Amino acid sequence: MKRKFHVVAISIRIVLNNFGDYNRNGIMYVLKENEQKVKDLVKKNPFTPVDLVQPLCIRANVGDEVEILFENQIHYATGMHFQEADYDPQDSDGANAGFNPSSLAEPGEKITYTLNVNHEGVYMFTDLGNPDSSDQGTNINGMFGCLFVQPRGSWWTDPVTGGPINSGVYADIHHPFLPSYREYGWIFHDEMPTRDVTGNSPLDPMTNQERESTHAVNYRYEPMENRVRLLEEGVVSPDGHGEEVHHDSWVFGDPATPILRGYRGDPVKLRLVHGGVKETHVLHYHVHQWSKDAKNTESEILDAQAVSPQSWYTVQPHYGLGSLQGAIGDAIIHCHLYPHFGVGMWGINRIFDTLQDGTGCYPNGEPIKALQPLPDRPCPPKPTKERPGFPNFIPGKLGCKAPRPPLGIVGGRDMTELERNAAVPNARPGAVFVDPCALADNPVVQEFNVSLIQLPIVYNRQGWNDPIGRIYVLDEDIEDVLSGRKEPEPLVMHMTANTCVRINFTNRLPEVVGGSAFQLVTRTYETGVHVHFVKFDVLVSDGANVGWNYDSSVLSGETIRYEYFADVELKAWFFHDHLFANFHQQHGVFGTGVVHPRFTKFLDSKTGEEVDHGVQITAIHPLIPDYRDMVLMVQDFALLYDKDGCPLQPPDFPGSQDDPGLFGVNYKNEPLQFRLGKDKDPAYSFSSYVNCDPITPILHCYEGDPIRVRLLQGAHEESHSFNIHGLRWKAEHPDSETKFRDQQHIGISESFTLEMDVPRSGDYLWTFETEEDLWNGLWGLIRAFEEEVDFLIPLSDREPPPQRTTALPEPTGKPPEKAKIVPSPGPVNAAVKTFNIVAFHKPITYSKWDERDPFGIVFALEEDVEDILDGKNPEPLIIRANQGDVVEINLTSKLQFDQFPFPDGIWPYPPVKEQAFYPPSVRISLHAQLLDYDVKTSAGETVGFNPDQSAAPGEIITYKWYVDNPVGACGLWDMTDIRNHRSLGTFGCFIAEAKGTKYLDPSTGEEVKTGANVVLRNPYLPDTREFVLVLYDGARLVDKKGDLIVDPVDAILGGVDPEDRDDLVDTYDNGSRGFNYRTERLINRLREHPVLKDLFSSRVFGDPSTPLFEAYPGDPITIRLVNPSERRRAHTFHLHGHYWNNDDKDITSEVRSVEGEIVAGHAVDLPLHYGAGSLYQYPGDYMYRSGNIRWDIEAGMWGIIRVHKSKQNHLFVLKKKNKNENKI
Amino acid sequence: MSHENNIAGMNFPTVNVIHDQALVETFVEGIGKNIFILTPSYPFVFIGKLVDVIEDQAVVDVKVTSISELENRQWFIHIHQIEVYYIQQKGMPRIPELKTNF
Amino acid sequence: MTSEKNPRSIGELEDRFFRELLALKGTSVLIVTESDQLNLFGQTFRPIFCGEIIDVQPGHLTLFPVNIKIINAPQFNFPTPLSIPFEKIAHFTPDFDCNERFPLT
Repeated sequence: MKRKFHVVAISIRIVLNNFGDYNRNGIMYVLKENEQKVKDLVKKNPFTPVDLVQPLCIRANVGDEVEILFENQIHYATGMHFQEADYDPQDSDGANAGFNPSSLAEPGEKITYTLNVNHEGVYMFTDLGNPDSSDQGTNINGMFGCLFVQPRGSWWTDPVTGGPINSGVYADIHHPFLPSYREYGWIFHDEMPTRDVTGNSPLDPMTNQERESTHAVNYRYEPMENRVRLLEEGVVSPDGHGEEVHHDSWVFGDPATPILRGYRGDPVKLRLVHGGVKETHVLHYHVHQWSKDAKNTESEILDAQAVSPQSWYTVQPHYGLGSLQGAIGDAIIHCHLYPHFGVGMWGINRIFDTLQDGTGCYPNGEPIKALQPLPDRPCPPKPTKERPGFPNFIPGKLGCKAPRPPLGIVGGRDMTELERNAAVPNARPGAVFVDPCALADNPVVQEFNVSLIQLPIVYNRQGWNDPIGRIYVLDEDIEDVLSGRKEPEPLVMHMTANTCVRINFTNRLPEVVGGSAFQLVTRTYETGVHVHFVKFDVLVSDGANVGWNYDSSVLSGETIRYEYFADVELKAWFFHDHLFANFHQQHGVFGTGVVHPRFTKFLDSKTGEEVDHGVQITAIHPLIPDYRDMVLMVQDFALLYDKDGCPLQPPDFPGSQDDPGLFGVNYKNEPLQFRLGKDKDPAYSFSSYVNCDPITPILHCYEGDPIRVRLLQGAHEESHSFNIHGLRWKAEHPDSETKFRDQQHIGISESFTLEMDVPRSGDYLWTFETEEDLWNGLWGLIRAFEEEVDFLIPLSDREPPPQRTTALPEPTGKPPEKAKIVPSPGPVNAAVKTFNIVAFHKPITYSKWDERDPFGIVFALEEDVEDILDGKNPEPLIIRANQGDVVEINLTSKLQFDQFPFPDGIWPYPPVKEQAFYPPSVRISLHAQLLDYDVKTSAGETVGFNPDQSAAPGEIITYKWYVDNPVGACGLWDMTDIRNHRSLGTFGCFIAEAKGTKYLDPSTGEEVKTGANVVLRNPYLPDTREFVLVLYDGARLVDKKGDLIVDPVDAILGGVDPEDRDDLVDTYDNGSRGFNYRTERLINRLREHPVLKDLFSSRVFGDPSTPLFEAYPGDPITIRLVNPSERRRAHTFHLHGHYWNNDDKDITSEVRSVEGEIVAGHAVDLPLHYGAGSLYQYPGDYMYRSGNIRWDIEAGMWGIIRVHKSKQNHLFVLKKKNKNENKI
Repeated sequence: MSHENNIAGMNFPTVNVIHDQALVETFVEGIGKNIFILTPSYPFVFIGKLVDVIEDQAVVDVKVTSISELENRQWFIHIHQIEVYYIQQKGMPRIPELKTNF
Repeated sequence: MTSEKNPRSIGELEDRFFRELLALKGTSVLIVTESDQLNLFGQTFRPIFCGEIIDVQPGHLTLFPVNIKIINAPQFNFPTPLSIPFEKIAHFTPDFDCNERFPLT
């Protein structure tokens, strides 16, 4: 059917919370029918939030045609660009891109967009008329909204009235064949310019400095700083400190941020959207879990989801509200990036157990709005005096901290009468209002006595240390850990599915922590264990203090019982403290429990004794293969001191959340600055011969052992990129029909199980691959022995390893020799494809604006070197081979020490934390992702006790890679010197193609060996255009005058206040960026023609310098996207007017037009649905670009795919399969 | 065409054959009625009128499937690929209609 | 629903499975069918059905009301009866309380 909406863009004052924080320059989309109403309401209520001031959410069904009449009341041209939709780019792109006519609306004018919506999901819309990232931009000020597309045949009603609605962030969705569900629009956004009620920059009362940037949900945020002021002034809870009551409705009443309401068991779709501009946030939703891919019932289970700017997910909690155990109460939903959480990026999912007809009140007298029961669900009982329902049976006192739960605290209180009426019959400590363990008949009960203690932790051999490390530890280990007999490590508890877990938690922390260079004096007087994934009673076992729930933490010296049920095999469940996390999580307050398959036994890998905890164990099972299990918990904001007690990377002032401190993994790090060795050659930084083994975790196994790596992030704010070199795993742990990966983006609280086997002996490097992480020591090894060692039991279901015949290698202080023989990992008769590759210095021109890297280093095929040296502007090396081929790489270095920009060994820009001497290496190597090779010879890096795999000038190093699988895009990069090489261009891409594929030049049709743009021809497959995008972000460029370009600061269209210039961006935001050694920075265009709306126009500026890919309507297209270099800020990739499967190996996977969480090591294949021009084959220009307004798009990370209507001389027409072709 | 239990050439029909044939008979009896069909194969759902049964194929005048472009046409649906179905009966619930104008 | 037919084929007479199911008529069963997942207007779910057997025929049985155990809405009752071909049944268990909560992953 056809749906019509009249949408207006208006300027509006957005009041962000009840404290009156506001954005005076807000811009929002609103339905015309609400325009006057919202303007009037805002005028009448200048200091309080107005409900109608919310991101516009409208709805349609799959198969609908949606007509948007867009009216622009902003004083410059704006528009609505819709993701996911099918539309004609000539009139409905909501942009002015390439040679398309502009589909922006001029001030005061209207334009009509026609969209077809053909798959379910979130069709986010944003403005592209003004891509400025500064505070004057449009997106940052609120110009985003959503079209939620529902299953065909759906209709929707207002959750309060039950009547029809035309827009709104909440709706109840109904369908004749499907369950009704609550739809909650949850739109994260960040960096919105904000003033406090007095019109000044908001201050943090604890530091008296400016508050963190705004991190909000649906134009609301509820900062701790505002609430703390009420404590400080004695208005409420005078005994409170701050963070522990931040989410407490007993103290403050409900927050201004979203309260998502429903009844126990209600089905839900939470539309998680990132409408903001910069950060990759992590949504965590207490109590609930969901399938990572809503369309794939076998996908990974999540309870935390990272989301990058302008991307989205649908969160469908398993079992509906309250999850399997049927919990009631307040489940907090928040960005888990702790500084964001602290500054207000949170809300509550309120699960009622009684009917709300609009007559009830909260304990503070605030009326509870009516909530219609879903029509296909049983009506909840009405509240009665005896059974008033949540929250009115909880014996709290207004203005005071929430009460402690009944029963749970040792020596604590019994239930009140109302509590007893609300409780389950067998109420017991830790399970009072639901009984999660009753889900099983007679579950195994496993009890752990856990304490939180404080102790100094030394992170590395150089003595970097945290004097007030805080860790969870089993009570039986406290003495050993405190006395130094046991190394402090994150607590990892092991259990099997179907276990009832009981935690007796004792708070053994000192009540007060003194001030330091990093932090102010803080009274962390109560703590708890907040748990993820498992099933529990949120009211009493949340280990938190949320909404109208109890405060389920304990004071110093007290013990509390929590009870959880691990219903099924899960990956590792994260736990942490929820009371003072922003103060001490970065000191180590995190741990995990791993839920193994039922009937698994856990053994100490060295002694074979049964254990129930430990970061590294051996798991044996009677039916499934035994495996080695290792937990890696990465952390940032680690507040460390050097051995002399000097703080490392202290913030500008104590208490600042502006990226203080360093990094760790399992409370250890191994910085590369300490691993130069005698020769001072970075190429051997990872070599255990030169430097001995790293102090970071080394997973021991025998050749051929299955392993499971449990990847978690324990602290605190940043994205990290985990990679294992030489191994790979299936993207969805429970589903074999998924793609291979060897890299995983992670944010705090996320948890991934990476399951694989280790095919050959040798040392495999695991890294958090971004430059700053790796530089500061986030790497370690997986070591597979080929012969027996006395510190590792063999797996019981495998042949025992052969007895040791050679001694284990020892550090020598000298670089290792090269391997004498490079064995081929492929079958003996495999075709061998040889590439002779040279790495050499060559200035690269990055744009037509004469932006250059005068010190570029490129990889090129030997036969192409001359052309490039003669002036051909290089592109990243892109090579291909087919499944079944063995690839032989012969690599040589032509690098010269004096050709490097910083031969003194201090690389100033783009910067990293803990700058140190690290002179350029003239050696080179080439590491490949996802292919099959022996890491002892062909990993392209010199790691652990493996032989040397780098080439000095004049030498040749040979690698052999077997393409055992058509895995598609694989990043290639150098591993000899991540500081002096990568920013200069030492990366490329390898593509593993289908068997029998030829690669043709799109212009001449001749076969080619390299290039980003080819036609794939295969007798069994359609001719397909392959467009390769090598996304990079840490480049160091100079402008046409030769002056250094300091991106992104120099690229900001709206300019930068000189005062802010130095601390506007984080270290890892720095560097120039784009695709394939090219960039198209909009600032150049603006200077030439200062008209914002024209910045993407090829009619005004000609085509951008970034790759222009061309096709004819309907041509099959596969985009290969890799990000081999190198910063930690995650990106989103979006292609206008097209979409693809989330997983190219799973046709049932979700359909999307965005790919988020792109960070170093990301490699993805995007076969576009329906080919060029999508379903309707519309010709025109389609932008591909980053979704990050801050700071990618204006800094040049965008380009064009051009779909030609008519035949072009330089572009051959793809071959149609001819029915006579194969006749004999 | 025959819907008799005449399983040619098999003296001892297996229980699977009996089930399969009985299912075909059920469809034959349902000719003329409205039917709802779920199958694991694309496009997953068919709603319409059962107009004929040809050997083990149900012929359905499909009014609704998940893809609007594939509606209002006859589909031959292999009865033995159907995972679950409902042939509308008197005294039992009607097959709901998808609202198109809410 | 249709009345029970008189047994008229040799197969029917010999089908003990059929008779077993007839005996379960009026009781509630949990049935899992063959396919990996089903897809109803984009909602995917494992084919796990629970409900009262209201009819048993030689080639299929019919459940009503029928609760589809959709993981994000496990109490959902489908609006119509559903007939399940015997040959699509992977396994079933009799006397099952459809309100029972159990893990579906």
